[in-house]
Amino acid sequence: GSREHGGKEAGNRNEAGNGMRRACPAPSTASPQLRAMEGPGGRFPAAAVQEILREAVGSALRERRYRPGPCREAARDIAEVVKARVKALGVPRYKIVVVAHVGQLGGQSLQVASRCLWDPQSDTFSSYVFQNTSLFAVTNVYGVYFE
Amino acid sequence: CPPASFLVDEVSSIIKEAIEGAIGGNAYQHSKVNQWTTSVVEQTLSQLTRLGKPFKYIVTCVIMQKNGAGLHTASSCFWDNSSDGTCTVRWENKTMYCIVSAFGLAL
Repeated sequence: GSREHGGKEAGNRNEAGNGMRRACPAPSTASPQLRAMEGPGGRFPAAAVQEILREAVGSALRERRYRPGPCREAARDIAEVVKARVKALGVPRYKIVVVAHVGQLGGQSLQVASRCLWDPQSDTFSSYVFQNTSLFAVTNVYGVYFE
Repeated sequence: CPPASFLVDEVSSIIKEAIEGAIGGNAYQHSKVNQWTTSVVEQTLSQLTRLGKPFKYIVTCVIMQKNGAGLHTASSCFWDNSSDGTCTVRWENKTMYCIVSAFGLAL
């Protein structure tokens, strides 16, 4: 039978624009360098996920200038690589969703928001923002427990 | 009884309605974007919940001002292929892009 599920929500919001700003459940001052943020815990290894994000996004984009074709590939590669490495952590009974956005820095404003219907005791997300002189990337990893 | 499944067409309609309801007919305004993304995501999530299926959901929304800059989005999931699913809707008007993705993960 189906189970009643406590509809608690967690949200995160990342904003990139002329100056990178962030609003999130654990507020911290914005900085143009590499930042990572995580949601409430569970058995999901947040620190290891952050390291994976830092490594994967950094190595994909650090030396890149924005070009549409390569950056479309980079978004795909980042999503695949992060998913594979998080899966390789071998945390039992967790489903994984990775969403990667890679965009051109052009003075435009952009807002990324997400919300989840899940169990905050076991489910969690990590978020990572990267920026260089010509592009930015926002990458979110969601870890969702299943019975 | 058969396990519920993630129906892309059903979710796609929900997302489109949420986007139209929040930003249809509006021009990009920086001061409104926060409230718009929240509205799109919350409306989508609440309609998904009303389907009454035994799923957890993740909904993400990106709203970007149109000024010629490019944006690419990709996702990758580790899940159960037989029950889980995702749906992405890309919407635009003269002044902005809105990309919404919903992921449904069976309990």
